[in-house]
Amino acid sequence: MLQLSLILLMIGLGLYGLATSRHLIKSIIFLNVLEAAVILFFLRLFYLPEGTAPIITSLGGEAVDPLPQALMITTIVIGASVTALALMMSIKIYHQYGTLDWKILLEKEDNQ
Amino acid sequence: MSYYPLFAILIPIIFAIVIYLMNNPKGNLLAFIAQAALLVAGIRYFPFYLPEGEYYLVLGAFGDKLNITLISNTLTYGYGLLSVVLWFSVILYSWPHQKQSSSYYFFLLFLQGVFMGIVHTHDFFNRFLFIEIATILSGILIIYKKDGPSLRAGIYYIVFNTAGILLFLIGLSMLYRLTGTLHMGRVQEALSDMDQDPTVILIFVLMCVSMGVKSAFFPVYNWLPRAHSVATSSISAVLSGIMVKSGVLGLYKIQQVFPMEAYKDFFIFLGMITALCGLFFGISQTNIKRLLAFSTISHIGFIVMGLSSLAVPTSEGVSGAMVHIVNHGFLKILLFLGAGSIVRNYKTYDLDRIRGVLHRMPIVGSVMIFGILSIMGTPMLLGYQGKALIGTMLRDQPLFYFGYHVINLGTIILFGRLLQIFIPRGSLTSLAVSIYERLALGILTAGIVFLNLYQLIFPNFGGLHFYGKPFSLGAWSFFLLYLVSAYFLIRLFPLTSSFFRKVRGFELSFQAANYMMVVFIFLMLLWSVPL
Repeated sequence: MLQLSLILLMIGLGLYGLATSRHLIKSIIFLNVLEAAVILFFLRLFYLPEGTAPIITSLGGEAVDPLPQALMITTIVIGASVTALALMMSIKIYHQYGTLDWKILLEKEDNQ
Repeated sequence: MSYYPLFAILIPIIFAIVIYLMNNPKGNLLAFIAQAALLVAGIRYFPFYLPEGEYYLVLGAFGDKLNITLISNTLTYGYGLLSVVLWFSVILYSWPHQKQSSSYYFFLLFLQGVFMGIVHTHDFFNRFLFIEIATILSGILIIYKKDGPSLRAGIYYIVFNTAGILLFLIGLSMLYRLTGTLHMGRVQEALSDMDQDPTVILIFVLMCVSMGVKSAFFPVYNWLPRAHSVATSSISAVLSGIMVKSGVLGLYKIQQVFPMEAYKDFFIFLGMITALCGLFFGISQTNIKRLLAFSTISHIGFIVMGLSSLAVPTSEGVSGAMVHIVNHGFLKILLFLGAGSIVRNYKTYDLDRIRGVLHRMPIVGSVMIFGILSIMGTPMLLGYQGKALIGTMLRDQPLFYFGYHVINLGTIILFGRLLQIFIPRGSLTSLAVSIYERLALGILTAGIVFLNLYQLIFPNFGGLHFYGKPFSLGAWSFFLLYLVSAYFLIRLFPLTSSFFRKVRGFELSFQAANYMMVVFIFLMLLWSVPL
């Protein structure tokens, strides 16, 4: 229960960070916090102490459902590529505008 | 038995990878061959499709509970064939400008494969996966020009949409824990009598909000006009005409799977607010591409209104929404491509400085007028059928029916403002439009005319009946009424006032957009609380 509530706190923290941070890199970091929280939530939800293997049941014994882990590996890969893309964009933005502050960036667009 | 759904996904992706690896201008011609191959695959599949109606392709040996499942029915088959026309014309249109760059066609074709994946997939995780890949690819295509505004719009789009799609993943994990499967049909069976369960409501809300972020519903719409107005015109066309619909198609699947009668009115209300918001901001724009982007938001609102009737199935609403998804896609691509030619030749986005399009570019001008009249909802033209069906669905609820008429009127005012670019004024020397662009617009127009005639002559397709009575007196009298009142309203409220200038400059900041996403979740959760 403690783990689950900590994970929920992390999800809240990620959303809070996205809704408040003015710095672009911080936004990307909070996106990663949110993503890590979601992945932990997924994995924690499927840790069942009395779980059995889903397909080959004849082996017996306890096992963790492997499907969520396979799904989460995929999610981690996608998350890494999104982060890489966003960081690449922020480098280009910094070269163009000399700032990574959302507010200044978006206001500059209005003046053009 | 046929592997067509798999081929529809893999053909564009494999061709895309080959184009990227060849990396020379001649290799880019493979983009056309990919479309031909998709068309051939679709035609070869036709005899299989006819007797089967709806069928599932399970990839793997452990049954559909655990394996990847692809669905093939009339809708997916139709999307498979229509996407060929749309992508072919976009590739042809961008050929003179991009024929040197392999990466452009790599991303464009990959996007087509991913869109086919979104259409065909029948389990939740693959839907998440394909939508997320589509987000990444769209982000790269938005920043393809690599100038300042497109980079800003691109990062806004990528970060916000990824945050939105993560909500889908939270819902998905709870769904898997609850039902033990991610196959949509199995989930539907498992949830058939659980529509009051709080966990199910939470899953439904999270998934709907993330789809709302993907396709720009009311409180979270702000990324769309920003991204779609700064990208290259051919990219804006693909994003605004087709990729926005990936979220709406997701919403369609979610509403099919979750039996939520309580949310019917909510979605009508949400669609109405989205449409009104898109129109309100769209009418006050002076940038031609921003105006078209806001009009996309208003049409998304229309489609959401139609989809709301899935909760309590009535055929008109769903048919109207599904037909409008396709019709709006075609018309919006036509308008964006035409706008791209105009912007390139006039070298300005400003509606007040573009004049005499019909005299200076006759083909682009006439095609644009046809597109504008269609999307306005002129009876007997393409944009009308879907709108009329959604109107029929709303006829029993006076308040919503009134709102529906206001939205129709607003659409006519918005596109009436666009019509001012045809006023012959200033220099009237003709401008050059390349043969590729004219050919692409011609193919699209031919596709639109074909769809239009098809919908008038055979008003049912795969269980959908889309006959909006385009010949009736009521349809025409309403349309004339809209036209007259739109004329007087445009005369009465000129756009030069400071109020409209303030509306035009209104932008939600990135933080506010994320805040709105959280507010959206709470609003939807509050709706389920019984009074």
